[in-house]
Amino acid sequence: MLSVPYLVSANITRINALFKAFYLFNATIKFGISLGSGSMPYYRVLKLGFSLATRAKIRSTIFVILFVLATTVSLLQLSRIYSYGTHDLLRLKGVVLEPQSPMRSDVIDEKLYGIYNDFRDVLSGIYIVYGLSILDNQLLVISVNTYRELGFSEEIRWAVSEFKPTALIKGRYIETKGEGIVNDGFYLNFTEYGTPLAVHLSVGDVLSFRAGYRELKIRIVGITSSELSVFKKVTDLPFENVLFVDWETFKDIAVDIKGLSGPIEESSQVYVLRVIFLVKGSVISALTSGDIFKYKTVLKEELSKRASTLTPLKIISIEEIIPQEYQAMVILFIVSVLFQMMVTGIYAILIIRFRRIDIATLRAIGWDSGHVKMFVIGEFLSILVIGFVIGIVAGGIYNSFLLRLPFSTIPYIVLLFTNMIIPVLIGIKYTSSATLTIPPSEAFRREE
Amino acid sequence: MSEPIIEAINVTKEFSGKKGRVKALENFNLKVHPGDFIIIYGPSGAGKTTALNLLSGMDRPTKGDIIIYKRNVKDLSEEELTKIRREKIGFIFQFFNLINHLTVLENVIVPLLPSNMPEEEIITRAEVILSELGLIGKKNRYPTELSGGEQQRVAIARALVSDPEIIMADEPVAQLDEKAAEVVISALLRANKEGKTIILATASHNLASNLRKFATKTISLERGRITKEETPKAKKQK
Repeated sequence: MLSVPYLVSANITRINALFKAFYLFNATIKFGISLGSGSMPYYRVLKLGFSLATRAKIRSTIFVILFVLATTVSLLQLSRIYSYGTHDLLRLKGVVLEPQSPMRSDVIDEKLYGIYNDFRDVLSGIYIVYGLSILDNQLLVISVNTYRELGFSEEIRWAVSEFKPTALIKGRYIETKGEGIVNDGFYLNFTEYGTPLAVHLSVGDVLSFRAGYRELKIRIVGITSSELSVFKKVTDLPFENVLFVDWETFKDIAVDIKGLSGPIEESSQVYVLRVIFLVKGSVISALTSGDIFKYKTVLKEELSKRASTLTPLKIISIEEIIPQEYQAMVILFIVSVLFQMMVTGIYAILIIRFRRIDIATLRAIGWDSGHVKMFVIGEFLSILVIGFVIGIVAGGIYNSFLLRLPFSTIPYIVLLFTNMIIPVLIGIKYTSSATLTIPPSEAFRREE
Repeated sequence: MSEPIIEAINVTKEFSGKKGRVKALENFNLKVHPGDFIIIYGPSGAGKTTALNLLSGMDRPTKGDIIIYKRNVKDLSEEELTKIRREKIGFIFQFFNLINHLTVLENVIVPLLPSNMPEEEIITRAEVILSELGLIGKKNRYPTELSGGEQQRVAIARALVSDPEIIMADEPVAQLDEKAAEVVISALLRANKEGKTIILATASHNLASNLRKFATKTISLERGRITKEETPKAKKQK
């Protein structure tokens, strides 16, 4: 068994397969990195590079810290930017109206149609939050639907999540039909054969409604706050429980349990709890054109002008994202990515400078260009990968436990390209070509 | 007499300098036979290192021909020349050129790492050579923890590990004290005795004089030209 520190045991078959893949990649994209010919085991040389990186402690530590810093900052900013696409989307793109007194959905069309018709160019969606009281006002069933199909079904989920106080304290949001979210302390009272009964629900339970031969089952997937004053204010009803469901389930409850007929969204027994306007504009375009903020201003001005028509709907103040705050995050993300690339470039240049005599010596003693490149790339890659992994872990922990941002794989995938794959390709390209500019004869011409 | 393994024929090497083209070597002729001990002697700037670079295929002549193992350097690609160096030539440098972040053992096995030889065999070979050179006890030390003499012995071990036919040494004892130099020279002479061809470049008159009796040929260089060529009678018949 080998005893030298860098010759750690490894799955040789797997590593050789990796190099075969690397050859293929190399040949396919013709990135200017020629590894030379032959079937010599490159992994030994790559490991030597890894080993050197871990032993050049001061240099490696400095660059690992820089890579960690760049990756962590990139991840934090990207996660914050991406979170605007879910939980904070309303703060960025939304204008919210709430009825100041109970409002039935049979009047909603006459109030919204004018806005819908005149401002479709700046609107990406209009979402209405509906409420239906059942079980003798013990339970308010809540759902969200688009107005005249202006909107995207995938945005409905966040529309629910943004309808305060629906922040989940347990479980998850609704994903498919037949799922529901109830408030913490959900409690329904019944009397069966003169005996009072109570039902308490938690995540995983199934709420089953029976009306005649019909049965409707709703699986509870999340628990939300018991703060229900907002709903009580806009309905004037004494309910103590809420149930959030998707629009199809809401319609089933309305028809099967409540016995409503005709279009549910125009029923006089369905309450309008909230109207959410979303303006057009991608989150990315906010940095350059600022369309989101322009559209939002135009819409708010127009809604104010039409206040009398919209009554009892009124714009409510929500915490909004100002353009500068959003733009600062995007700029910081771009700067951190550029910083990562700059540090990568400096590190690649320094490795070539520090290893100049070593490279010349290795070429002199008979290492071919492919092996010398692999040796340098091994040292270069190891520090970049270590820094990236630590940065991702540190950023992920900070996001989840301190900023409490929702976890999403998207920022990590984006970072893999911006902070890992692109810098790696740049570094490999540079180190590969720079290695070949060092002649083997330099080994003899060393000056102390 | 056996065929030469390296031959320089009317070789001239020019470099571009601040004052235009400079001739580092002019009309250089040399035949190296298997088992030769060749000393290239000359002051600093005489062209010794240039000669070693050309004879090892690390550089190409401006004029003339270098024939290595019956193949003209002009006709060989970089990869082919690299292969010849890997398989046939071991190098010893004035400043040792060890990789400081590798241990003694790792430095010695470096030439064989890109080969298909199993790792266990590489390690065994390196340990045998380190034992012969009295360095086995220091195999896990780093070069910076060794004396100059020890570092040069590590460099010799590295040159010998691939069992080359030729060893090229450029000022191998210039950085060493007398005692350490003796050990290094003894190792080179032993290698020559075992059949290795040695080409040694030195600026030291004393070293050249002391080794003359072992040499098959001593070439004196000055300003890129051969000023003197000695072939001791006893060795002529080789």
